[in-house]
Amino acid sequence: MRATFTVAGDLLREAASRRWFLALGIGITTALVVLGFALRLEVVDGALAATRLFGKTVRSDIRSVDVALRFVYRAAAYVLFYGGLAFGIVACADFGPSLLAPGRIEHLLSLPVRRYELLLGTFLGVLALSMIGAIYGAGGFTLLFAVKTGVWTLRPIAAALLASVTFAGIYGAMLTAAVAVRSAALSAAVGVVLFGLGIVAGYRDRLDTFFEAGPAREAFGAVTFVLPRVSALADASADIAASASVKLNVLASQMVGLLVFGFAALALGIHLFEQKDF
Amino acid sequence: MKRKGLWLVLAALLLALSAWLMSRGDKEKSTARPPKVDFPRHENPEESTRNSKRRTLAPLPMPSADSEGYRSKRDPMLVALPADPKRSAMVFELEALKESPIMQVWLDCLLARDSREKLDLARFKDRFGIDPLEDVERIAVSSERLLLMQGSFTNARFDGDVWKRRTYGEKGVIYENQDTGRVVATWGPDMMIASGTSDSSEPVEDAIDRLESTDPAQTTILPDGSAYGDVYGVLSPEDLSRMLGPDQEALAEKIRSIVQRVDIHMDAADDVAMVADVAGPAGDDLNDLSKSFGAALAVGRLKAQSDGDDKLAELLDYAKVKPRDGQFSVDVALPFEVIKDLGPCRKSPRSQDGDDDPPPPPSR
Repeated sequence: MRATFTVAGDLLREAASRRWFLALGIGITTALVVLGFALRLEVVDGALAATRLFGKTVRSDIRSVDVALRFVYRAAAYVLFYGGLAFGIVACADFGPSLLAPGRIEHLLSLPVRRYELLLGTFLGVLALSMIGAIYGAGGFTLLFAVKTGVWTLRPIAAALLASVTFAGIYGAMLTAAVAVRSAALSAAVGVVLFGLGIVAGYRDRLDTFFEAGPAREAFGAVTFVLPRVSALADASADIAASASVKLNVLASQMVGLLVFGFAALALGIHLFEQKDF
Repeated sequence: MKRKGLWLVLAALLLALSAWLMSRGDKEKSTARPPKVDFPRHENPEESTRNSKRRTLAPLPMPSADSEGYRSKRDPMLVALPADPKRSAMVFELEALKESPIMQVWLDCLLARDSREKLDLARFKDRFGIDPLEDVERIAVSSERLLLMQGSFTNARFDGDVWKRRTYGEKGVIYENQDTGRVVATWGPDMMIASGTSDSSEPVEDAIDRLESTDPAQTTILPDGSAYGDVYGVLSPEDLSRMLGPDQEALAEKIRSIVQRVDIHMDAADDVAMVADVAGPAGDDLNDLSKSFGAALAVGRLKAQSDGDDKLAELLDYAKVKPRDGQFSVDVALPFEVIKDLGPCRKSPRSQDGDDDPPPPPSR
């Protein structure tokens, strides 16, 4: 198991040296700093009375500051969720193929590390990477608004972590695709397809009425039954950020289900990996 | 070979498990939607149809023969209300309110508290031929001591021994009670006017004068377009400031000095949602007042949260102040559970001490 974490740690070191993640870090930091200087919030007895952005008054309603922030956090949660997933799919698509690059894989397999540990380590490394990004982005955003308004909450960070879990589920399939065909493009394509189909699957109970009752609807139901419910989790993430009441048992079931989906894809990847000769 | 197939079997099992776990949220969403509150901001199609049917009063003539333009028919009840902008006037749509949960509970309380009210209603019907719960469509009250009722009053009767009858204007008939000094009038078959001042028929006569006036410059306190919601009207700054508690004297003084007019619209279809449009001279004073209202609502919400009143706190999430040029609107929603114990259902101090059995809780 130690070897797994070593592989995960190596992946984090590799990510730190990549321009993608450097750009992400600089982008998030710049956005937070600009927002910090440009945004002025006037809070009167717990009510958000005025908002100024870049010196211009933003026409807004006067309401309880934590209620007003719900809309901000909800929007930020959606941006972080979908933006984070899209970025993660593109930026992490190359980790699997580079792990299997000729020369490198032979070197890794000559070390006292099992094949499944290599894949599991990569998977956990990407999971850790997405969590670090989510915590940095959402944490900075939350801290900024907390300092400006006095409303302290961890909900946006929890919402961002939900996005990380969702990405982990998708990345499991991306990694497996990379094992099957050592191609960053194919890995990214699998991620994009799962991302899109996952949005559809999240609304499967509403969308199935568009199909006529019979084989078409059954087929739609069967295909979407096994897919990650990306949009449902995005909605849940936004609801968590916006302090809406959440049914924890249902959410936990969906979250664990998505992680298990990631591990299922990973198990298939390990199976394919075990078959390969290097 | 056996070990090689193990990962494949594990993948299949995990995929099945993940599908089952994820499908749990397909029907039952992980978040509970908050209650939807519809604030009355404009007339809905039903109200629009109703209002156009109510416009039965002939249009006012044009100011001069060479004036161009179009004048439409008018709603007699709105015309009959005193037009003094320093006065308040509220209209209660009884027909709609009767169907609202809060009014049903209040009526239950009113009739269950003791039999006196029930007897009074029955006696009123026997004496005047009017069933207030069936024959009255809406009631308007003005702070100029005037009450107007619109409905079906063809069966209305006044005992000639007690009520002195005289005609006034074209369609008005005024009845004056010789014993109590009360003054009531009918205007046509569907309008009843009552003076709030004993021994004074002046408010009633003024109302009839307004109804029969052909003065082109005549104005109304409530324009036709403002007749929407279950309760609507205008509150004068004086009356609004009087509604505040003694601990809010500073806010009351601000209201008296800054506010010119407050238009109120309430919807009681489920929980009670209210929109108050506060008008005054544009400037910092009105801006500060809007912030004071916003802060007061925020404090009220925090108090509801600290008191553990989740329903009230949830509905006060919708409370907000919308500033605009020269006016701002205040949106407030109050839960049915909070207001059902007010009004006729308010427990007397005796019953709260346990000395008196409270009336049976009304069913919603």
